[in-house]
Amino acid sequence: MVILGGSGDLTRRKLIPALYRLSQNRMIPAGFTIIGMSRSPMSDDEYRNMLRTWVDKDSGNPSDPETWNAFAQGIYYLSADYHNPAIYGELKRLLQTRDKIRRAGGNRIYYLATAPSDYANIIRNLGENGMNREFTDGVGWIRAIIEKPFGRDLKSAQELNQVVSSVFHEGQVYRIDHYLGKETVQNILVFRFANEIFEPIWNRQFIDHVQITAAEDIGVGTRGAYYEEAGALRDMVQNHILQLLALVAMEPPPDFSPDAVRSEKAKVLRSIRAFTLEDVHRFSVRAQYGPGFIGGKEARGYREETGVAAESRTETFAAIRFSVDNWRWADVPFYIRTGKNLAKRVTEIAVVFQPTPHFIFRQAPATRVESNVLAFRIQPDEGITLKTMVKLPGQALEMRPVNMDFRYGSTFGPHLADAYERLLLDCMLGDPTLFNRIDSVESAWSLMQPFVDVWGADRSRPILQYASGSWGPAQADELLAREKRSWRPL
Amino acid sequence: MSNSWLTGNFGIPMEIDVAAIEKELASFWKSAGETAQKAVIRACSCNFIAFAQNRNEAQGLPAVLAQVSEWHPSRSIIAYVEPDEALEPPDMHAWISAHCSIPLSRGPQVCCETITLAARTRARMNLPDTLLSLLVPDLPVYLYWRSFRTADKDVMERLARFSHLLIVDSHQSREDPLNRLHILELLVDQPSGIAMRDLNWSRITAWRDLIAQFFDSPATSRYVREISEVEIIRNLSAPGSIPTRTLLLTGWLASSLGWKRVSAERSGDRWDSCWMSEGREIRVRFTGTISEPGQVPGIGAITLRTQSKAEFSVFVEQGSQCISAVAFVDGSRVIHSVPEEPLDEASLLVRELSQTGEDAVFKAALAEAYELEKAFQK
Repeated sequence: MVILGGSGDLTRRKLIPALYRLSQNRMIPAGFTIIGMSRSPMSDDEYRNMLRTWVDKDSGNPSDPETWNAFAQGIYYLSADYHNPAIYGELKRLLQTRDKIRRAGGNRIYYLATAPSDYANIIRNLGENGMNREFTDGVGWIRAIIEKPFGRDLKSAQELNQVVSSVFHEGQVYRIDHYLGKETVQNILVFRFANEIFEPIWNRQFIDHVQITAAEDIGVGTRGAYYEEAGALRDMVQNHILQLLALVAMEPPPDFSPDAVRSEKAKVLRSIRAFTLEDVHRFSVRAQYGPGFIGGKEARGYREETGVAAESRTETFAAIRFSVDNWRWADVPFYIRTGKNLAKRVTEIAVVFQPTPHFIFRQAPATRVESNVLAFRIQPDEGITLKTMVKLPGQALEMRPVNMDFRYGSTFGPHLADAYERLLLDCMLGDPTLFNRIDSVESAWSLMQPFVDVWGADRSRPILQYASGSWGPAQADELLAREKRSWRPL
Repeated sequence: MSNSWLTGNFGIPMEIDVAAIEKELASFWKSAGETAQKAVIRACSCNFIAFAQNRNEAQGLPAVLAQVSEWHPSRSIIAYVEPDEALEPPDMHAWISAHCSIPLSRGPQVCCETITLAARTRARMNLPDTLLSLLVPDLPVYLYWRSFRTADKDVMERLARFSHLLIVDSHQSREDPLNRLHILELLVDQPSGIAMRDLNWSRITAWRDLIAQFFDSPATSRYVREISEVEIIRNLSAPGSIPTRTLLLTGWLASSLGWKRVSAERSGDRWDSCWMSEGREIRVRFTGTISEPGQVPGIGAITLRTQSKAEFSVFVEQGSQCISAVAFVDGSRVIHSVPEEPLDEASLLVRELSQTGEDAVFKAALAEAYELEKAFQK
């Protein structure tokens, strides 16, 4: 595996710890080899030492020397400027020699963990050096994992897809969205399609609306410069949230094969009603976090963050109402919200069922009857909750909502495989089910393009502000309130 | 239900970083599972926030909340504000603890957690957002503000946005008539979206039940339309004290029976009012005597007399643990005695949490009582 961006943040926080855990769990073969590539000059040993520090920090414990040494034997480093075409020849030779030394079998994964602006250049250079050609000259299969964001808008995504397609065939391309590697996300499909009782009610006749929340209780931190270019729309909505929406709304695939699942997801994305420019104003709210208070401490506003312009108009919060125009979901709104520096860190999908058609308990007028809610908690405390009304013990007919909870942590033990572990392994095994296909990426961008256009061009009005530590601007509440609904208290 | 404390320091509050509360709670419960001698169930059916005026008041709350959580398992959060100089930086401090009880069914211990939050005055307005982040998702939020001061209204209004029920205790303001009046105003003119209650209403539940039962039977139901005189005898803590519960009880009778007030006059501890209903005059009189040692201040007796000389009385006999209801109708005397209900804070809260929506009867009684009190002040 060649990690381009081998000393970057993603490699440090996610990739190396995930690969090490896979190694510990005997999920990758002995000859597995990592070549880290980045601009910083470093020897192999210096690189290995750096990775070990990251792994130890991730686990909170010093790594076992024997296990680490076995893993580290297969790690090499190449100091390189990705823009220098000559370096790819050097990489090719390095791969060939390491193949021989470690009997790695000639299979290759190129993991693009660099700045997105480098993707096209890297892919072209890989192609020009013949590093895309499988099953020749002792080379086995070749795959490329491409991190999000896959493009900045529809046009750039299409352009990038053209470059990628000119070098790799679609079966070689693994566009990663780590949300899809999370246990609870995968469990949505199992829950829907391995239980008889839910599918019959999974439609407009029983479901009132769906809410998807992806909230973070931290700001942009040191990623201000990146976030200025991305914003909540590109960072979360276009990829993670639309993928979650697709999993909830998709039709049952004929089987769990990669193309069957991905085709159904793609169909949902194509069924989402396109937004006109006017719809963008009507069905969405964007805002930016101001100063506030989180976790007992004062939090600064987005514009005070390092790397952020003082007059920045980048949104750190987005709430959008989607409509899925098909037989199953007609008139069932899908409300999504995502933001930084919100009240708490929580990602969940809540399926809110219709109210009872006729309320027979008229002798209990004081009671609030709440709709049933099925909530998939993606993080933290991964699990599923079903809210139902029950009678309070006592002579009076008092009701209260209660939650029936399933928590992965308490049912199956505390350790859940990290999303990257799962996805890296899937790529090695050649299973792209949980990766995004070219058509889904372009459909998602196509949907988001009106937002890119309107939000990017709208300089006439100040961007809404919300206090750090709150649940976003009041306008996000109004988005639901005008349809007599409200966000779930989380 | 008997209490049982887990081994270890579960009952002893442990100070932690506010930002790490959820993480600490998770490891706290993990260690509970490992160290407890018996199986432990972490239960939570609601969020219960208790706001205290200061540290002293907050120190008494964990015991109350522990009792409440035996009936209504909850994540309890105690919040209070301290002067800036009384609390070390940072602006907010947090402690966590847990309480366990063994249910009657003798199953595993049911345990609930308590978070205590102390904020410096400068961070007072940040408490609502911090509390918001600590709520267990999608469960009802009940707010108890024992010593509510009108100065707290701004914080309360922000908390009310995500709360389902606000419980105050107007009795706590008996020494502060202006604040008490403001609380009543707040209760009458409730913020939208939140139900409000007063523990003082719960304190007269037994009285209301027994009075209502007089007229349940077909044989006596007609007398409710013949009431011409109501006399309420109060045991006073001090001369001139405001009879909040008595006013509420009168307000309840008036609102339930459709009485219209004609006049109200007060002379010392004697309060007289006159009402009309269907052409019939009803005279209501409160009298009071200073309570004797061992006697609990409050309503001592209520007697309802009718035009046809029937008489219905409810009273507490000194030294007795019972509350008695006596009906004299057509020469016959029927007595009904029931044990006095516990009126401690935890019992009252348990009762209030058992019916959490709007209490239309309370609202109507309160509105009538509030107008009656204003009339007496004229």
